[in-house]
Amino acid sequence: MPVSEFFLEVSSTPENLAVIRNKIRAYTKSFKVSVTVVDDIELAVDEAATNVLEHAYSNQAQGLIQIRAWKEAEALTIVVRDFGRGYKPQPVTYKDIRRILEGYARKGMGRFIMKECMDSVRYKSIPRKHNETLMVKKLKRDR
Amino acid sequence: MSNFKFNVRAGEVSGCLICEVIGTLDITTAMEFEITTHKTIKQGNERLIFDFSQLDYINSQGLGALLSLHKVLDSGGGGLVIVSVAERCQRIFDITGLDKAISVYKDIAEALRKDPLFKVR
Repeated sequence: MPVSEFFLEVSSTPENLAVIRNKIRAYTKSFKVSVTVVDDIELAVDEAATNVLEHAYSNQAQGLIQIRAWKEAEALTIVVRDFGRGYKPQPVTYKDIRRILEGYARKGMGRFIMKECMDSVRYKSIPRKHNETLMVKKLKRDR
Repeated sequence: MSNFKFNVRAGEVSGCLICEVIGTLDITTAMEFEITTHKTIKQGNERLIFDFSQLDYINSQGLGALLSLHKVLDSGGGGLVIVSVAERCQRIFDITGLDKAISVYKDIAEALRKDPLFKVR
């Protein structure tokens, strides 16, 4: 059973990314975990929400972003949901990141960061319904 | 109003500019950052030091802007380095290995002392 739940719904404006970051940061900090874990979760959620703005809503502000999170068995699950256009994310490898760093490509950095920050990241698109990025992070408490 | 400021001042070496980047570099500010820096480059400044000591947050959009600027400067014979990265922003540098593409130094003095970009020509 989830012990503590988080829910946030905002419109898809770039300015709301700061709102999302601040809220998820405060929620994560409540579990007394390390600063690195808090930073990682904030960064991953921010990247997922940025992808929603870019891919699902093509940088238009009329869409909705829902973020749901809950802690269960020392792991935090976060779902970033949108109601826009779905897409097929391609796997991003270290080789892809090297190409981005060398200036030969620009796409994929956000997804790579999400994967590095979280223990698992999955994207699911249900046409004409919604799209979801589901992320899990194991929580290690500060000692 | 965006949480972003860009202060430029002349550096200690001729032709080098120190750019203090303040606030957040994300989707709301990365383009403004890139455009402002492009204007600086067009004015003939080809060697830039980005001081990140007052940068609170950066994500992939900010990194993308930095890499784009690095490519422009590099192809023109100049370059950029980053100094004084705040602890909170260090994590994304570590994850992505940005320092393999762009040199990162502890502070301005170290960058001027160590980076070949700032050797007197």
